[in-house]
Amino acid sequence: MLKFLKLLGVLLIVIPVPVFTIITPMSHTDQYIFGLCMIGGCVLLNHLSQKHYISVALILITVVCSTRYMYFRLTQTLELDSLIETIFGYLLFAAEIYVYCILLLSFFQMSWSLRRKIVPLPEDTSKWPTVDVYVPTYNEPLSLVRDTVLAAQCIDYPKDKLKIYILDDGRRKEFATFATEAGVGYITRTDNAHAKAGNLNHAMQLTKGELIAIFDCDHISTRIFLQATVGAFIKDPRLALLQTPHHFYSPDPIERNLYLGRNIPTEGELFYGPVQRGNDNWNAAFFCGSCAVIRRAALNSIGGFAFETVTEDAHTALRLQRHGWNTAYLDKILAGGLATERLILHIIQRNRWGRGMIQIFRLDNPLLGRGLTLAQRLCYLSASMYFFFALPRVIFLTVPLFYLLFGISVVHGSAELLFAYALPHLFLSVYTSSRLNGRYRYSFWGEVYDILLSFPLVLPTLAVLFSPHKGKFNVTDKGGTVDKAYFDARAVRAHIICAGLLLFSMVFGFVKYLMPEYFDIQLGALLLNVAWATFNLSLLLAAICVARETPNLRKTQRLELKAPVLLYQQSGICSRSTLNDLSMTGCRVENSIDQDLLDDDPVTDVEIMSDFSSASIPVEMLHDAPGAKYLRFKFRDSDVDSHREIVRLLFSRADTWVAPPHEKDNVLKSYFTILACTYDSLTRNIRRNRALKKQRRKEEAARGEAA
Amino acid sequence: MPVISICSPKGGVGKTTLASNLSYIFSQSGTKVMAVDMDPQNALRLYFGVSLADEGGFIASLDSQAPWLNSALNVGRNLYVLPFGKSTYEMRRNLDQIFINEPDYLKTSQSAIFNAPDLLVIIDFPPGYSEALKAAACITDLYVIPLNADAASVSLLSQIKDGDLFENGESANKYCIVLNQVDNRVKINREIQDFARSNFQDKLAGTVHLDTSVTEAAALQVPISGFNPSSAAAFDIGMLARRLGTMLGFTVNEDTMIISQGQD
Ligand SMILES: Nc1ncnc2c1ncn2[C@@H]1O[C@H](COP(=O)(O)OP(=O)(O)O)[C@@H](O)[C@H]1O
Ligand SMILES: [Mg+2]
Repeated sequence: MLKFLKLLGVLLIVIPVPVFTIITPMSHTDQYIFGLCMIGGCVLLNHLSQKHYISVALILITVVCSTRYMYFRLTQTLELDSLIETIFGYLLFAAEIYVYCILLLSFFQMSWSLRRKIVPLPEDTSKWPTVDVYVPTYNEPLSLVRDTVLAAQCIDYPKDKLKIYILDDGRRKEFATFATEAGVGYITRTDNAHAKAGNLNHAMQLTKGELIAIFDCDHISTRIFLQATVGAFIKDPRLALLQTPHHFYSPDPIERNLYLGRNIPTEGELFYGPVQRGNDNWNAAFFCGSCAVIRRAALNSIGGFAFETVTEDAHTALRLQRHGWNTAYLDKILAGGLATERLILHIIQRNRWGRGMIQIFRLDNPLLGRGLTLAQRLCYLSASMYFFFALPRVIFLTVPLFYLLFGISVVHGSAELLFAYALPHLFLSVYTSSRLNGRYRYSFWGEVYDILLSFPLVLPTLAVLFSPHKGKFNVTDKGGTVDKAYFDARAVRAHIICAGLLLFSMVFGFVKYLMPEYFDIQLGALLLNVAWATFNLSLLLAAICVARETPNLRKTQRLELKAPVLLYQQSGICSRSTLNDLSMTGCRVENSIDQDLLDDDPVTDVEIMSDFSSASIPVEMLHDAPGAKYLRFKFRDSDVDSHREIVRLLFSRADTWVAPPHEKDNVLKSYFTILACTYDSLTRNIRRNRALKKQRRKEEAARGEAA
Repeated sequence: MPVISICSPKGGVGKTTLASNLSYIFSQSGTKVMAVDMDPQNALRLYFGVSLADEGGFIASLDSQAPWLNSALNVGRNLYVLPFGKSTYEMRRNLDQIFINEPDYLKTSQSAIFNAPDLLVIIDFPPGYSEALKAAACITDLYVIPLNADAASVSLLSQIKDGDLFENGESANKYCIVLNQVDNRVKINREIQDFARSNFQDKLAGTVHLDTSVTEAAALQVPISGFNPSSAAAFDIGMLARRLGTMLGFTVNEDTMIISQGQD
C-alpha cells in the first residue's frame, strides 16, 4: 500500500512535466527553438552511449514531440474553410492518427526485447517428446517439396521419436510415390476445406506426436532444428508455440530489382528480429505458419488450427494465448527458404496477409475478449493494425497534389508553424527508430516497402474491413524463376500515375506562383508542398523500380565446400579428389586425375564424403580443356538416398544460415542509398547497352586487325 | 619384429593385393619389410616386379636345410619378398609335415625372418585354413582378414564374429577385418558396410574401394599409386597401413616409422 502511494506520488509529480510540454502552445520561432533543442538533445544522447536506458529516454522524448505535434494538429489546424477542405483535412488527420498509433505501438513492442537462448535437451533421450514434422503443400512442384522433406529427415532426433509427413492437398500421385521412396508419411484428404489450416487439422487427427513442427514446403530445415527448439517445451509445460525466423536464401523482388547487390537488410529482418523479440518479451510472439513447433495438447485445447481467417497462423497463436498458453520466439535461423520470386506474387502474398490480419482485427479483436494481458493485447493490436497502412500511405502520397493542383489547403494555419511542429516529430520518429532497429531496417526503406504495396492493397483491405467474412486463402506461388528482364507495369500502374501527377503538380505549382494575379499561392506553403512531393516522388520511383524485373540467374544455392570426393570412371577406375563447390544441380571438383587416364574414360559418378555419410551421384561430365584446374559435373537424376545426402551437405549444417549482422543505419546515408538504387535501376539498360556496344566495337576492331 | 598375417576364408578377396601394397607402403615409410608368400600359387612376387620365369622360393630350400632368408629377394629400398617358389605336391606335404611336427618352427628355425628385430613381416596366406596358418599362430601379432563387401560375406562376417575362424581362442582377439571392393553406388554393398561397421566397430580396420587401378597396376607389376597417383584404393590402403601401425604400436608417416620397444 505504502509502495503504491509512493508510486502515485512520484507519478503526480512526474506526469505534469510531459503533459505541459505537450500542450503548451508556442510561436513558430519558439517552437523551432524547442524542436531543435529536442533534436539536438536526442542526437547528443544517441552518441553518448548504446545503453538501453538511453534508448528509452529517446523513445520518451520522441513520444512527447510527436504527441505535441498531434495535439497541435488537433487544436490549431482543423478549422478549415470549405467542405472539401474539411473532408480532406480530416482524412489527412485520420491518416496521421493511424501513423501515430502505430508509432506508439511499435515503440511499446520494441522497447524491451527478449533474446532467448536455446534450452538444451536433457541427456536422457527417453524424456524427449515425440515430434511430428508436417510439410503442407498444395500446388508446389515436387522438386521443391522434395528437398524440404529430405532435409527434415536429416534433423538430429531419435528415429523412433520423429515422424515426417507430407500433407498433400493436391492429391498428387508422384508425391505419394516420393513419400514411399523417401520413407516418410503421406497424408491427403478428399476436399480442401479451410485450406492450410484444414490440411493441418486433418493431419492432426491421424498422427500422434506430442509436438508438431511445421515447415512450409519450401523451408529447408537445418539438422539442429529440434535440438534447438524442443528443450523449451520441456522446460515450460505451458509453452504452446515456439517460432523461429523465416529466412530466405533467394532474393525477393525488392532485393533483386532494387538493392542490386547492395548489403541492405531485407524486408523480413525487422519483423523476425526486433518485432518478434519484442513481442516475446510480453509473451506475445506469434505463429508465422512455418519453421515453428507447436504443442499438440495446446492445439487440442482450442480445437485445432484456427480456420476462420486467411492468416490461420497469427489467429491460432492469438487463440492459444487467450487460453493462457505461452508462446516463444527464438531468434536463430534454423531453416532457409525461397522468397517469392516476382513482384506480382509478392503483392498477392501481402494481400492475403493484409486481409487476414484485418479479419482478425474485425472478428477476434485483440483489444476485446478474454484471456489476454494488456501488453499482449497491444502487441497483437499492433500486428493486426499494421495492414491498415495502405490507405494512409496513399493519402500521404497524394496530399501535396491538393494544394499544388487545386489550391486546397488541408491544414489550417501557416506553413511555417506547421513545419516547426512537424520537424521534431518527423525527424525524431525516424531517428529513434533508426537507433532501435538500425541493423534490421534502414531508414525510409519501410516507406518504400509500404508504398510498393499501398495502391494494390487499398481496396482489398478496405473490403475486408467492411465484410470480414469474405476472403479466400490463396497460395503464394514460389520456386519459379524470372528468366528474362521485363517491366511488370500492372503491379505499379497506380504508382506511375501518381508519380506523373506529382511531377506535373510541382511544375504547375511554380507556374501558379509566377502568376500571382491569377492564383493565390504562398511561398512557404508552396515550398513545403514541393518538398513533400519531391520526397514522395523519390520513394515512389524506388518502388516503381521494383517492377523492373531482372532475370534471376542464380537458381540454386551454391556452396563452397572442401570435402573429399571419389570420382568413378567408366572403366571402374576410382580416384580421390577434393570438392570445390556444390549446388543441387552440380558440382566442381579439383582435377586430380592424370590426363591420359581421363581420355576416353569419362567420370560417371561422383561420391561426396562427409563426416557422417557419403553420397554417390551419377553425373554428366562437362567438357573443359584438357588439364583444366577443375572438373565440372552436372548431376543426373539420382535416387532418393543420394539426393538426401546432397541436401544434408548443402542445407543441413548447423551454421548453414549464419551471417554477420548488417552495418548500423545512418539516416541520411540510407536515403541517398535509396536514390542510388533507383538511379542504378533506371539506368541499368543504358549501361548494359553501352557495355554491349563497347564489346561489339572491340570485337569489330579485333576482326579488322585480323583481316 | 611385428608379424602381420593376411588370411581369409575366401579366395579372391584381396589378400595378395593387400600384402603387396601394405608391404610397399610400409617400406616407403622407412621400415624394413619382408613380404612372405605362404600361398603355393606363388603369385605375390609378381606384384613386386619379379619376372614370371623366376620361380625360386623357400620351398626349394627345405631339403638343403638352408635358411629361408637365403631365398628372399630385395625388390626395393627396405623391401624384400620371400616367394613360395615353384612346388610339387611332395614338397608341399613335406612343408605341412614340418609345421605339424615342429609347431614353433617359424619362430625358432626361421628366426632370422620371423623373430628378427626391426623387420616387419607381412605374410600372405592361401585361402581358407592351412597348416601354415596354424604354424604362424606363435609369431603372428595381428591377423588381417580381408573380405569382399558382397552378399556372400555376410555369413563369413558372423562366423568371424563368433570366433569360429581360429582354432585357439588366444589368437581370436588379435584380428581385424578389412572390407575390400566397397562401392557405395550399390545399395547392398552399402548395407554390408553398415553391418560390418556396427558389428565390428574397432575391429574393422579399414575399407578399400573397388578400383580398377588395382588390377591395372597388378598387370603392370607396379604399386597402385604408380599407375594412378589419385587412386582411391591406394589411398584406402594407405589409411589402413596407418591404422594397422597404431594397432601394433608404431606410427606410420611419410618418412619415419618407429617400431615401439617391447613389441612381441
Ligand atoms: N579394391 C580392389 N578393386 C579392384 N580390384 C581388386 C581390388 N582388390 C583386389 N582386386 C582384384 O581382385 C582380384 C583378387 O585379388 P587378390 O589380391 O589376388 O585376392 P586373393 O589374394 O585374396 O586371392 C585381383 O584381380 C585383384 O586385382
Ligand atoms: Mg592371393
